[in-house]
Amino acid sequence: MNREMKKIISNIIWTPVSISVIAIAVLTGCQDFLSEEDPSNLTPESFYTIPDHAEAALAAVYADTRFIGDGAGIFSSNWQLLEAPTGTSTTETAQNSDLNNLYGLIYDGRTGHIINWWNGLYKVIAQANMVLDKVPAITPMDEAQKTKILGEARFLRAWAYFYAVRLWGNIPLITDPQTAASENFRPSPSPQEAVYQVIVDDLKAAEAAGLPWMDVSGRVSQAAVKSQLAKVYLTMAGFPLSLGNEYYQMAAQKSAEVIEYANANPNLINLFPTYGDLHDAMLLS
Amino acid sequence: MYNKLLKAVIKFREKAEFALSILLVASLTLSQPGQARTNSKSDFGAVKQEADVTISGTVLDENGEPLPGATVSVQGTTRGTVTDLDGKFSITVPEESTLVISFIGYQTQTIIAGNQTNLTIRMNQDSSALEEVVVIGYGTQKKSDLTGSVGSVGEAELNERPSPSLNQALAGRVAGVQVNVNSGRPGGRTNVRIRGFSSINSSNNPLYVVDGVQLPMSNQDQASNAIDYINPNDIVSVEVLKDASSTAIYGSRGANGVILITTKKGKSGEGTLTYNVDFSVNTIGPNRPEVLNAAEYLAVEELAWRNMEKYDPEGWNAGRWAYLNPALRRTDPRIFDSQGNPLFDTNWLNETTQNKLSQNHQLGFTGGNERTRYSLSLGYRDDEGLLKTSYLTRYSTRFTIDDQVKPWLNVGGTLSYNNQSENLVDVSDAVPRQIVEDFPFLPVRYEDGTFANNRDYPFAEGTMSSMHRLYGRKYILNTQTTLGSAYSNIKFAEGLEMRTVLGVNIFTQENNQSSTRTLAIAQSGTASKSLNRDTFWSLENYLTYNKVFAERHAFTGLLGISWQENTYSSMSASIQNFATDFFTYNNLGAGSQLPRVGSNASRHALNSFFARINYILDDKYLFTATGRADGASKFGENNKYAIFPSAALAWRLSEEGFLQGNTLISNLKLRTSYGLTGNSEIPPYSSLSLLSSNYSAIWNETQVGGTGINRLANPDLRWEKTAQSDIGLELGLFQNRLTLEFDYYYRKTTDMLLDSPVPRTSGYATIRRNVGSMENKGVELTLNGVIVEKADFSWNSSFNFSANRNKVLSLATPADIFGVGGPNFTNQTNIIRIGEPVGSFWGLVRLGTWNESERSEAAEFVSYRNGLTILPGDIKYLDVNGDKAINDSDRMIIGNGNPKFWGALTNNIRFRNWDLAVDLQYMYGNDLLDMNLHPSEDRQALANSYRTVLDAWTPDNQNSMIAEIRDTRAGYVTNVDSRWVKDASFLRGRNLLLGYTFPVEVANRLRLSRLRVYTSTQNFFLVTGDEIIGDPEVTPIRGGDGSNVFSQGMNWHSYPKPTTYLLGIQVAL
Repeated sequence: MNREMKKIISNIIWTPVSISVIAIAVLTGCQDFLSEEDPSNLTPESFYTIPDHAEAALAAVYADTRFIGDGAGIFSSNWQLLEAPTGTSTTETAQNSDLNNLYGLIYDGRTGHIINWWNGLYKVIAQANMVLDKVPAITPMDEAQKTKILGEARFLRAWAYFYAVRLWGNIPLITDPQTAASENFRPSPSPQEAVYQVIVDDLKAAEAAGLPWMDVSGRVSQAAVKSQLAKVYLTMAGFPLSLGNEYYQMAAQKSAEVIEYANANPNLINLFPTYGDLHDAMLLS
Repeated sequence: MYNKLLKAVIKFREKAEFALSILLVASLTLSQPGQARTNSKSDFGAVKQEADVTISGTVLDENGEPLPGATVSVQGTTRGTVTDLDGKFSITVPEESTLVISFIGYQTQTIIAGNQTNLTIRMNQDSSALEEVVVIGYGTQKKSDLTGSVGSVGEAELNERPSPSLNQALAGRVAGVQVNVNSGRPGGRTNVRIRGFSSINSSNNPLYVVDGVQLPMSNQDQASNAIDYINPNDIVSVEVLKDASSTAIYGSRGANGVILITTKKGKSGEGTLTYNVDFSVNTIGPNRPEVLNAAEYLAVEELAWRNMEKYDPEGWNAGRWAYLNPALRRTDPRIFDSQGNPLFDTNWLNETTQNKLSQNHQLGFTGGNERTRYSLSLGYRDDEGLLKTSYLTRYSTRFTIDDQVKPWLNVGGTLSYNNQSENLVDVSDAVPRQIVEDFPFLPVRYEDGTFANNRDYPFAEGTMSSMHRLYGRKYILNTQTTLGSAYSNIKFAEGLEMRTVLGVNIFTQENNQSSTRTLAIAQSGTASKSLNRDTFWSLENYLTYNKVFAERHAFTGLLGISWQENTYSSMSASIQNFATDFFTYNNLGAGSQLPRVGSNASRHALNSFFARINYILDDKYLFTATGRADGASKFGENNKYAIFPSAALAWRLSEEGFLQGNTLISNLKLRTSYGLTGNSEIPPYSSLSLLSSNYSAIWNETQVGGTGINRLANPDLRWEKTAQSDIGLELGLFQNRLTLEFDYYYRKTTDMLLDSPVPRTSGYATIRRNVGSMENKGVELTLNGVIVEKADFSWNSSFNFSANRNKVLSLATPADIFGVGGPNFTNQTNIIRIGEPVGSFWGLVRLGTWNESERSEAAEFVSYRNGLTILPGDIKYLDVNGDKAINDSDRMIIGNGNPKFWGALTNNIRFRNWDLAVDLQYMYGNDLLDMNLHPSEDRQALANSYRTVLDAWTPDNQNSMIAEIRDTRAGYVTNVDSRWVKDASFLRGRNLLLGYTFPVEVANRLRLSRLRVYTSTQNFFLVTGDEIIGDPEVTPIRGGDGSNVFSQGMNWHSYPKPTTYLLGIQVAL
């Protein structure tokens, strides 16, 4: 056997050996080669551990309430769902056929504005449910701060449900965070009585959450909770729940609380003397 | 004159030589040791000089053209040489020895050496050009041994059409490959589909593999792919793998077909230097849009205002529209005289376009000896776009080296670097749209030098003019691409080899944007800068074993393992409000309002194992089986790995006894294959449950960051799978002067990755799931003919035809999918519906306009015009359900942007030293959805319109498709409808090229071995429907390319396509 042959044979033996050694080294070094962790986004498991996270989670609920101002196709916004069919506003464009149809009182589940309202309200509800589910477990956390945050989240959830129940009547009632495996992931509508019950419970909890009477920062205040509660009672008193006198009384009672406080603290709450002033553009500006 | 030119060229050449020699020294240093060895060998041969003779000669091809690179060797020895670019050789050999002259594709010849000093050897083409070797996944194969469907494009074809990108060079070359060049932007914007669509949410782009290294799918802006940044001049051949037998070896990245690219490599023998240069000019292309001139526009506006009385009598009588009286609006002394007559009549298309000289220089060196070979190329490209201020410049360089270190070991590598800079003036629709909508009565600039804009005219739309935007807005993309690879090839024993390939691709893109203070008035100037980087590496190892048993069983086995990893990171910053326009994006700190920063990162990885067996019995029966197991980080915990198998059979009937020696049929092969491929091109982390931290609440008038819900988890997420079967026939007649290749395929994608809607009550919109399926079936036909083949005249013709039918079979829910395609600024334009092809357009059917006799019928309709009564002169739609209301129930599929069939016809004619190429492209049965008709025909008097509005409804012209002209504010009607859809079948003259190669004697006088000059006209004619405005081959810009997957054939103001005139010179020495 000549030297050349020997060399080739030794190559044949050694090269695969060294390659496999390298391959094994690479393989074992890369045990996590196919596992993944997103460096730019949090997961529910890695969040909600300190009080700051509770504030951030609440901010997301507030952020989603702005869907009302979001676009609904060209030259239209979601708020026009309530304005166009009621004749409160008009338009000079004809490019948005959904909007055209709203003016013609033609709408159904395919109308963009209606879809956006449904999606927008339930997104607020889902964000609030996340706060209400995750924040109680955060420790250590100042209890007053925790109660306040939970109260705000419950107010915002009630705010969304109140729109939804008035727009659609019987609707799905979701009060906990959802995953694809959740029992009520594909829910059935709940009777509107049950929805109103959650609204009232939420608002009462918010009322007792130690919120300041007024909050210039734009966050929910005691006065907002009580006014909203008054409006909810008033609605419950009439069609379709028709709970009548008792609820008119409760609505009046809640309103009176706000009015009395305003009269005592005109620097904090400056109410219009009459309801009609609310619709006077000159006064508003 | 001719002599004068010669002298000038010689002078220039002497100067250039000095510069080139510096580069040569640097590059040749690498090959010096090898060179020395060759010399010492011939010295050794000189010992027994007395018996030797020197033989010189020229090797010519069958047409009498010099054949460079042919091997001339002495039989039974290792002594030999290679012919130079003139086909010449000179060799000193022992007397009476046998010379063997060989060249791939030609019959080998032998000559007994006498004392011939000037031999002429004419080589004859090998009876079958079938011995052509093609590149396949992880290897090469003789074309005759292929069992799969593979399209090849050679260097000659690639060189024929000067193109800024590979994708453009590929257009029309391979049946089944649909390449649409959808923009006239420098560099173009191409869409490449191989055998239709395979996916709704994942990529439909093919996988590109350069010299064995897979390119990553890019995350970069404008959906640019790494392939766009490879200098097409460095590419020597391209193979397109179409059927599953050839693509399944690429497993989860193979579903959309695979494009294999082989780049230029060094050659042993005398060094070569090539220099190619071309100069070109863009001009406005065929079928330019016609808009109203100043007088026409002002007349239309006058009429529009007067007609408000008819369309909104209540408002008119209340005086609500008095302010729109044109007489009151035409008062600006910069624009109108005192009578309200216009001072200008501007043609904005002429104003915004330029015929500027572009240039392209490509310099190449190759060389080497029998051990080491190298190549070096340098390129500079400067494309000046048809639209002013748009450009693309690219500097590129590439170096390759291959070395036979030991008899059993080859190593080599490539390194290429590209630096490209572009100004994308069409990154939004704004500029191309304003070219149509700018008022013709405005000047470009006023006397004081400021730009005139639509906003200067009261109650108009369009704000800033096209010229203002061209000069005030910058969108500069600077892209640097570094592609490197290193390989080793170890030969363990005869037939057993292991190849290791390490590939690296670093892709860095800088996106610089700014708008001047006059353009971004509200913000007082804006600027932003972002930086993205993709880093990709791959390591692949594979063993190949070749063996022929008992002279009739040829066996090839392949076994391999691969890792790939891609990391991406980006950062961005933007700010507003500048005191000056001086800084553009170069000093963000000088801005004072709304600073924004962002960053992002991601990673994904693949780990794979692959294998292939080829077995050939008696050169007649061919069998291939492949398999790949892919693991991908992107998929759910429960489904990381998947297996993609394939198998193929082929039968070479022409090798059977009954066809052997047949004078008509020289080649006949039947083949069939079936296999599974996958698609994993979804964003990373799609299977995880994620929160978003991009919420912000406003408390105390400051932004407060929020974290909330974002995405639902799906631990079961896995690959899309495409099963494909293919039947093919290859036929060669008359010694293969006429060849035909036919394929029928059926592809079915299942487990499509869809964002399947979930009940919105969960707070989430969708969950990414594997649901849904889609099919594509089609035929492909390629015909190649050598029509004439004479010594000084030849004519080759190539024709291909492809047809694909797509159908959606199932979706996540039976409900239609909207919001695809784009731009969705009106009602929905596109629909994905079960049983229908993707890319379908969705809208109403316009019957025409209501005429006077139908007044009462029109009035019965629920108003679809701002609540105002529908009148004669308004648009009349098909009321499908007869409910006298026009709404979603009346919408239907009204067209599709994909062709029923398409292809190309290429003719190459050579007469003596002249060559002529005529390259035609055709598409049939594709519709165009012209969204431009919304602002430019359906409405008037807000901005300029197409001239078609002159044919609108009038009491005297009631048989019109266009509604009566009126100011939009009196109520008008516009919807995506059948009026916007037109048959956009077309025939395009893609390239007309005429070249002249100087006779060798003339070239030699210039001390060159080759000199060719050529001219080319690209996009030289277009035949399409009369009603098509602009180019029918388009996709919209708005919405980004990502959402444009299904919007082929939608027109929404894109960069106009030029006709390009080019003059080129090719030099070799």
